[in-house]
Amino acid sequence: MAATGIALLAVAAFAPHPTQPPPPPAARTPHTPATPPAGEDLPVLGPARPVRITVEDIGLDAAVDAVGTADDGTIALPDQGDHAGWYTASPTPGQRGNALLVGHVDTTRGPAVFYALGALRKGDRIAVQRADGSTAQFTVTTTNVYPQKRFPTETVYAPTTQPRLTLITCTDWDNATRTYTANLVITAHPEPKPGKS
Amino acid sequence: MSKNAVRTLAALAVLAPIAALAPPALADGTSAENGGGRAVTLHAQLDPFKVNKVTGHGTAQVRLDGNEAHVKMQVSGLLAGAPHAQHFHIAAKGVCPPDSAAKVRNGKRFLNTTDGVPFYGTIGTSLTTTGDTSPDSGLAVDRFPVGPDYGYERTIALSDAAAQSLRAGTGVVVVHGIDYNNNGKYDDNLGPSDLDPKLPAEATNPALCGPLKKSAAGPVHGGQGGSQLASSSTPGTTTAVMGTGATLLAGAGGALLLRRRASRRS
Repeated sequence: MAATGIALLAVAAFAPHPTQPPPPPAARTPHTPATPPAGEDLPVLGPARPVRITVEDIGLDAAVDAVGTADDGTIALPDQGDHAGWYTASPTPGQRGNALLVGHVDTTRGPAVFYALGALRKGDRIAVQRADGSTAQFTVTTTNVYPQKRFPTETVYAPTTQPRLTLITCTDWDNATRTYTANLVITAHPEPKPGKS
Repeated sequence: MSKNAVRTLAALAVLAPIAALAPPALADGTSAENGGGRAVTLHAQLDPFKVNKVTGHGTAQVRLDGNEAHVKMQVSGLLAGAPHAQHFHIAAKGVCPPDSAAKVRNGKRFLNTTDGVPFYGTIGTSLTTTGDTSPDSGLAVDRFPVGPDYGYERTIALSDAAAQSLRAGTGVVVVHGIDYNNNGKYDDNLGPSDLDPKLPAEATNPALCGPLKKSAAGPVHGGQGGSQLASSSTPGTTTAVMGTGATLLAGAGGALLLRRRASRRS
């Protein structure tokens, strides 16, 4: 028992908040409309590559790599499990449009960069530091879980007229097939009045 | 623009099927896919040409199945009460021209439609609201949406050349019609249109532009199971994953330990 405990704690040490398995029940509201705030003209930044993502609420602080398209047409993932990936075919975070960030929930060795993403709640703040020194600030607007077999690409990957940040990772482990069967999709938007708290 | 002007433009458009002279598209190495290719979804973020004093923006989504394209667009911030010609431009570099492609004419620096052709190509499809969608309708302003803001949705049969270009990644959505001198209408302050000297340049100069890029497919494969302790350390002893939120906690001892740790932290 003691040995098991040590092993668990060792694994847990890799995760920012190991006590929050992804995703919590409250995140499970499939097919909640992921529409941006209507009619608001949100702050828009120019293009600049994202370099780091931080979410204080869940202890997330990770480098962001550029990722492209995998051979099967899906968004490729960063080689390093503790890095997030910005999809280079999407706008940069803070620009007008739908910026897509992906990350592993875990690797073969344990929890990875987006392990704690399931603990995000509407209203949580996400900061993305960019190569030009600016920071794009977002507030979580939706959390959705979509089965991988019925993944609504046309909704999740759609271009948007307002700046939007979309974070995607895996969830719903199937012990029989030893695979994740769903995606956790978080959408966030800039705050209408930046700097106000 | 007055209704008379619109009518005049429409009449003139019939006489000016410039874009019909577009050369046939030759997509690199993808000619085998001609017409009958797999269904693809394409997206475009439509950005304004600042050099043309445009501040609007928009999006376009195209689901292309064979030669049938289901087109959805959202556009906002363009000149109000004026028709905005919109097209798939095809078979060139598949990009929008930089501001540096603009030229000085009549003492003013702006981008006309021809300036952009080396980048986005000639018209492959006219995204009209009704009727013909061929390049012949490129300036059929009585059949284009009216600004400032509009949604557009239509299913269109594309030409082989247009479908091939979109699949090859060289399709570009261009929305035309600007108000360079900000006086609320298309006028002659930039001189005549490069597409038809009888039209004002403002009526045909490009306003918004976005390359159509293939959307990512399917879900994200972002997990390898290394945090699933029960399955990795004690295979065969787990009974069932408990559904919502319990995936990590299949081993009861582990669950207890983690919970204790959780309560200590919080």
